[in-house]
Amino acid sequence: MPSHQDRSRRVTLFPTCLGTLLFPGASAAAERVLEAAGATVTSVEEDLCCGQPAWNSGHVKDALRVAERALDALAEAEEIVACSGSCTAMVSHYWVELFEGTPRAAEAERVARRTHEFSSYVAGELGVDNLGPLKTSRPRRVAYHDSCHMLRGLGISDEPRRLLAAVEGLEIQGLTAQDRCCGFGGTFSIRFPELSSAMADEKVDDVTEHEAEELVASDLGCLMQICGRARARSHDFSCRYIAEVLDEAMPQRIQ
Amino acid sequence: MTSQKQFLDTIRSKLEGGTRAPLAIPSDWAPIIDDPLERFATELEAVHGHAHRCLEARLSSTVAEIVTSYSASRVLLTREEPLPPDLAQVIEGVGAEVTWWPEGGRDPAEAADVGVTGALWAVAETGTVVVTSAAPGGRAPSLLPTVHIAVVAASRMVDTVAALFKEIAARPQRPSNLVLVTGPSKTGDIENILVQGVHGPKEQHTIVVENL
Amino acid sequence: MTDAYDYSKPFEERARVSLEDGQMRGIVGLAVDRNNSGRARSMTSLRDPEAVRELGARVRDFNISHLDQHLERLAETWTEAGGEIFFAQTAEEAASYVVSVAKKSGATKAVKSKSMVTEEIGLNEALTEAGIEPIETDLGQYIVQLAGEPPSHIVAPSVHKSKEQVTDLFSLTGGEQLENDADVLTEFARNRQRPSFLSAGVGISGVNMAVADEGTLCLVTNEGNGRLCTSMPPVHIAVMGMERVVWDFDQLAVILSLLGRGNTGQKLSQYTSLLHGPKRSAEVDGPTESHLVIIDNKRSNLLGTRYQSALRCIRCGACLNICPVFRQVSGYAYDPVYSGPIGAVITPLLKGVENAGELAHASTLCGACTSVCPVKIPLHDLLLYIRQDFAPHTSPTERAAYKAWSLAWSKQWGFALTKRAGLVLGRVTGGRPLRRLYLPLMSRWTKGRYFPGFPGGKHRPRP
Repeated sequence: MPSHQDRSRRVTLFPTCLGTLLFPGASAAAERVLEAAGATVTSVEEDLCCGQPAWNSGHVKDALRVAERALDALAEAEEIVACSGSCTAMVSHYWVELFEGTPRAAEAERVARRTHEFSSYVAGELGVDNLGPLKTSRPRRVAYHDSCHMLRGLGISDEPRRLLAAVEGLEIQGLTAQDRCCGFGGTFSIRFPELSSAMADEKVDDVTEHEAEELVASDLGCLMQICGRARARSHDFSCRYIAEVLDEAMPQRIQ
Repeated sequence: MTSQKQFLDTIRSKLEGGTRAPLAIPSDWAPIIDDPLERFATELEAVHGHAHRCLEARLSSTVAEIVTSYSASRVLLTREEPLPPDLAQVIEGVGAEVTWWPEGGRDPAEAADVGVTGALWAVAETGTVVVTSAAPGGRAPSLLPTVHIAVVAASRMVDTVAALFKEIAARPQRPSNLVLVTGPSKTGDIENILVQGVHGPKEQHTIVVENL
Repeated sequence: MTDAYDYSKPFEERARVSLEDGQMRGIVGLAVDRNNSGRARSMTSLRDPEAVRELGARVRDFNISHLDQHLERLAETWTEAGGEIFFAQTAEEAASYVVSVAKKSGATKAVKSKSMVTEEIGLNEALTEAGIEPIETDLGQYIVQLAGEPPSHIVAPSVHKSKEQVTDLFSLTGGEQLENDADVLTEFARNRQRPSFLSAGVGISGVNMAVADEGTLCLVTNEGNGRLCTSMPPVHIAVMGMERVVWDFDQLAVILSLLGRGNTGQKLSQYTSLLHGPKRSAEVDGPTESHLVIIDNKRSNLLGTRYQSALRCIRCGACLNICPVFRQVSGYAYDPVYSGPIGAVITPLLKGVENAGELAHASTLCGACTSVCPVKIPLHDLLLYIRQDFAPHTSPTERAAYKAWSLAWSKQWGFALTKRAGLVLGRVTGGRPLRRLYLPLMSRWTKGRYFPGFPGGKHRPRP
């Protein structure tokens, strides 16, 4: 396909287990956006998990078993883009600890260094301008939720906002307790469902008090948590993974 | 019963050991204070204390004005610097009874509406005054009366808490108790509602004497 | 009230007790928010707040890595100042020393300035058993003492109580109905406790920070009760956790600048008291005896381990005030002594990971605590390490479940099976969002939340 864009960034997409199992639309959108922004995207054949559920619960051997298969699949990738702030943090930050003392430590460290979160990659590495004019057919007020691993673990808060700001028709609404955890915490949400729901309530109230019509985030777990709670309380704001917002706003391409 | 040696040996056995190089604290970590006297007043007022400034000649009358403002009837004085020699007379002149620390011990301090003490230093960064237990001062005069008035020479003003502790470290005398007083006693323990006046004095005034 | 909190039961049950108390959650939420924003605001008055935090961490690490030498020096300088010193390896030794000093003095009452380490060693119970009445004088601690409860926050012991509850408590204590007003209630406490300060035979305090090379104990309060406890009674006993030491006054200045700000957003607390032994012969007032009790009580177990940084803690409460879990469940859900993120780390370490390791799971590892700790303790990383140490002690079901999951997902066919199951369920349910999921573990998700739906049906799942 003829293009003025430089297509030399070769990216392996890491949809994450939530993306693979429940939200294939999210990672499909991510793939389209990455391509539009100038990357050549390859998917891995296998379905991968970074091992975070077991790692966060302190079951290190179990985490290692699962993560090793992901390492196998990603070891040769030039650059990896994950559709989740928390999975990115797991690979780029914690894999070094997880694989420490194993024969694969050096490999894991290499993969860790090459793994990026989706929005930081698009805005930071590829450039939001590469996406062309972004305009949504559904003008609306959206609120962005910073997931904890992305905000505090990876230090990323600017890039997703830059991406959203580039979409004509979106009004970005700030939240009162912008930085506060939504209560997902992976298996925490299942260990302590009432406590987790109570934490989600604060986020739901924050969104509705600001009359945002949609909540956008870079973590599917957070979206599932906040929106799952919102639905149970009969609120109807929509929830979107950030790639889907961009995908919908991109000029239509002829396949 | 563990001995000191056993206690410390337990610790030593778990630490890495090695030589101990002193820790250098950079000299510039503390805030820069532009106008110490002004800043002192702002900070003290912000914590609900009262800041006053006067020349030495007006010191006794400034104290007396504060005493009058509370319609105080009993005032305890110490013989500390820089309290002026005519202070008792001026206070009696506005109709209050004067008692002298340490005469009578603790009871007059407890009974006093106002306690007037000297102070070793003032700190601009925080609106703090430093009182001492050393004679002719004591612990009770700044603690038991309902209102505490501290008198401090402007030359004893330091910029920051960091600077204060350098002064404290350099001073050879070590009283049994130095207290950094920053405003009146307070609490937020009842539903985070700020209440002034708990166990310590309910009001705190500091008079900075400009020409001392 | 705290009878409802059963520490032999799982955390989830205690959390439920708190979650059902909407009034308490509201009060606690407001209080911690105010303190948290105060902290954030006051940190900006430092030229380079991040540099001061880093400095604070280095100061604390310096003292912990040379703890034996610094405590040895402290013993020297405190004794030179005329003080008496006692090293207590265990909680029992510490409590019995304090009791023996109090008994020897003939005291029947001991006024206490709030000290978390005295809660840790059960000092009040030990004093009461020995016939000495402990009187808590910090207003928040007084409130919980009257209510027969432990403190619910390491800095604000009565943060969970409403003004109305305090009014009822004080009215009952005083024998007359008081006005439901914070000023009136505080005045009541002031007048009620004054005689105790002036007549108690013993004053007991904690120590915020000991200055080893100066033989000085630094005690910080807002109310003045700390000064009274350490100045009025003829005998003073200070109790400190052994890690609470700095070397010199320059280091103390750094820590104090972080403590007040981290606590409630003040640059300094109202009273920062520097105690240097008992009264001098030329001084008029002050205690004639001043004892310092230095306590280990398993703190040495942290030395030389990956948990050593937890000993940096200056007990400012900043982590409690920002924790999204603490604001929902407050202190009692964790432990009667130390709660919040720091409590979830040190309680298992002091009481045994096998006993209290579950507390480390009362967290989403969101990292907010780490981001505000004035001495940069990597709290959320330490919580993860506790989870690792606790893993062998989790239920056999949990361990089996993770093993099965990891064995399955370590192979593509295992993951593919999971996908297949999802598709089947999607077809069966039409891919609709589900209010109830009748599947093991997954059913807990739908306690309060919709499940977004399984793929494979007509309906494409959205979060």
